[in-house]
Amino acid sequence: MALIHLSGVTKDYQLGETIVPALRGIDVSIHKGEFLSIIGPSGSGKTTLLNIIGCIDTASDGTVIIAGNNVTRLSDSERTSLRLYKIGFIFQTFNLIPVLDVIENIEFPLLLMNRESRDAIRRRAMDLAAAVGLHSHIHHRPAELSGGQRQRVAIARALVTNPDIILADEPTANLDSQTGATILELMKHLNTTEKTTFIFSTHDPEVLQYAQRIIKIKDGKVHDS
Amino acid sequence: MIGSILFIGTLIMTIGNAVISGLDTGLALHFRQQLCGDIVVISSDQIKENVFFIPMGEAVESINQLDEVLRVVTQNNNVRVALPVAKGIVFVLNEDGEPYFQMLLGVRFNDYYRAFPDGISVVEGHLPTGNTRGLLLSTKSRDELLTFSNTWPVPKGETVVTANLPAGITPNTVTIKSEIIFMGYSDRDTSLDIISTVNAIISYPAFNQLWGYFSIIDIDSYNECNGYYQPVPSAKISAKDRELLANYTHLDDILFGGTPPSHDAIADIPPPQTERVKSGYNLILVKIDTPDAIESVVHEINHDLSSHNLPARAITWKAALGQVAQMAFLMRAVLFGFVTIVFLVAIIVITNTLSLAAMERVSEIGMMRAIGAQRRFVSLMFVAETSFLSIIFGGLGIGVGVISIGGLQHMTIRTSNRLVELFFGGPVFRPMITATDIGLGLLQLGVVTVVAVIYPIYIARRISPNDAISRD
Repeated sequence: MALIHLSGVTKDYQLGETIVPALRGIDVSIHKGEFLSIIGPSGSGKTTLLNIIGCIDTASDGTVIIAGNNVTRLSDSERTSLRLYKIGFIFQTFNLIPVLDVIENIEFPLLLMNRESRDAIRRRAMDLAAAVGLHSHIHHRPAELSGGQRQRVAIARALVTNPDIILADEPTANLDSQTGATILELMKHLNTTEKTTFIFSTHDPEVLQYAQRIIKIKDGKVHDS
Repeated sequence: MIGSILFIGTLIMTIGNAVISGLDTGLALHFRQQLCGDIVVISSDQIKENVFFIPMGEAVESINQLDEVLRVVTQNNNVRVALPVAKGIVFVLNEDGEPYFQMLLGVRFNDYYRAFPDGISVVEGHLPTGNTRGLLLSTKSRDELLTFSNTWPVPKGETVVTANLPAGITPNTVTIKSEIIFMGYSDRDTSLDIISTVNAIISYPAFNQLWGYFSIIDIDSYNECNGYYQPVPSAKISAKDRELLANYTHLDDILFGGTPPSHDAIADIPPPQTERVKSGYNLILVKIDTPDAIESVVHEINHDLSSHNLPARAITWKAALGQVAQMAFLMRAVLFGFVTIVFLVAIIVITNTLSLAAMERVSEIGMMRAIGAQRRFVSLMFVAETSFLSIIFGGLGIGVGVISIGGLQHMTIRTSNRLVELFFGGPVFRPMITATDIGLGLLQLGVVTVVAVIYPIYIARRISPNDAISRD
C-alpha cells in the first residue's frame, strides 16, 4: 500500500473575486522509502502539492491519504499530530523559531512529543547538530547564522523525530555545494537505513541526481512521473 | 511594554486599595470608636435617621422609657457600651441680640469618657468628673464665638493661652469669659436661659472640623436649658418666692398701673407644677464587640425593643450620620471607581499589546504549528509568557506599592479640611495595606492577566501553518 496517495486533488485559491486554481486534479502514489523529487516551473504548484502532502494545507477537492489516514477527514488536532509524528519539514526560507537557539530549535519537535527524557532529547539534538556541521554553533540564535547554517538547522530539526516522510522545499537552495552534498548524503543515508521517504522540490540538477523518481508538474497537473 | 503596564497598573491598584482600606479603617476607627459608636438607638417617633447633622436644626425626638430601652439594649450580648446622649441646639446671643446656634451633646461626663476614652483632647482646662455641671467647649465653637461675638471663652480659673489665639487677636482685643449664657431651643415651649461654666476647651482628635460643631455639656444643664424638668414632689416654695411668683404672674398690672395682688390672692396661688416630661436624652450611642455584625445586631436590638413594646429603634452609625457618611462612602466609591478604571485600562492596554505581539509572531507561531504544536500548546505558551510577566512585574508593582504605602504612612500628611478629612478617613492620611489588600491585589493581577490574554490567545490560535509559510 502506498504511503502517500493523492486522488483527484484540486486546490483553488480565492484572490478577491477571482478563483485561482493551483492544482487541477493530481493523482499520485508514493511508497515508503522513496527518494522523490518534484520539479516544475515557478507557479506550477510544487509548493502547494508539498503543503497538501504535509497536511499544512487542505485540498479543495479529492482524496489525500497519508500513512493510512484520510487527511480530508481529520480534524485540525489530528492533522497536527500527523505532522508531528509522521512528517518532517525543510522549508525554502528555513522557518526557524527566532527566539530559540540552534539546539533548542532542533529539540523543539521532540519536546512537543514529550516522549523522552530531556537528556535523551538533548543528546539526539546534539548528534543531529554535529551531523549537519553545527556542533560549534549550538547556542547561536538563527539571526546569528548564515543562510546555509540556518538551512542546516532546519534539516536537523526535520530529521530529529525520525519521521516517515520528510518534505523539503528547495532544501539545498541556500547551501554551498559541499554542504549541500553532505546534507543530501545524510538524507540519502537515512532514506536507505531508516526507510524514510523523502519528497523534495528542486531546480538543482545535483539534487536531481539523488532522486529515484521525479514528478514533473506544470499548470497544476502532473505531466510526467 | 507589557511589563511596564503591569508594574504601573499593580502599583496604582495597590496604592488605591490601600487608600480605600485606610478610609474604611479611618472611618470605623474615628466615627465608630471615638464619636458616635457602631449603632445609634433613637425614638420610634423620630422620622429622619440622620440625627447628628439633621438639617435646619430640627429637634430629635426624645426617647421615652429610656431606662427600659437601655435595659433591653444592654441585654444584647454584643453590646459593650450604651451611652445615653441628649443632642440638641441652643442659642447664644451677641451684644446686638443676634443668635448664634450652638450644638450640644448633653451627657454624664464620666459615662462619656468611659464610652469614648480617646474621643476628646483637652486643649485648655480640665475635664469635669462625676455629676459636676460644666461645659466642654470645642475649639471650633470657640472660634465661632470669637467671630460672632468677639468673645474668647477660657476655662474657669485659667488664663488666656495666647498661643491658642488666632493670628491678629490679642487678649486685649477680645472679651475673655469663662461663662456662656445658653438659651434653650427645643421642641418644648418651656426653655430657659442658663449660665454654663466652661471647664475645658476640647478638640476631637478626628473630624474636629465636622464634629467640632458639638460642645459637650452635663445633662442636667442641658435638660434645664431645654425645658426637660424632672418632678420634685417634695419641693416647697417659700412665702417670699410665692410673692415673687405672684408679682410675675401679675407683671402687666404692676407695670401698667394696676394694683398688686392682695395677700389672700397670693395665698391662693398654687405651687408651680413640675411635670413629668420626656427625658432630654434622644440618642443612645452603642458600641458592640463584633463591629462586622452591625446589621445583625441592629436587627436583634430592634427585635428585642419591639417584643418589649418599647418606643425606640436601632439604626447603624452610617444611617445616623446621614449625608456625612454618604459623602465618605461616595469618596470610597470614587476611589474604587478609579481603581476599577485603572484595572480596565490595564486589561485593554495589555490585551492590545499582546494581540499586536501575536500578530507580529505569525511566522513563529505558524512554524510551531507546522512542526506539530497543537493550538493548546500555543494557548499555554501565551498564558505562561503573560503569567511570567505578571508575576515578575505585577509582583514588583505590589512590592513597590507596599513600600510606597509605608512611606506615605511615615510622611504624616495632615488636613483640616472637612472633605479631605472624610477622604482620608481622619485628620491624617493613613493608607493601610493589609494581607487582604495584598490578596486583593494579587487577585486583581490574576484577573487582569487572565482576561487580558483571552483575545490574544484567540488570535494566536487562529494562526495556521500556512500563514507562516505564505508570509515568507
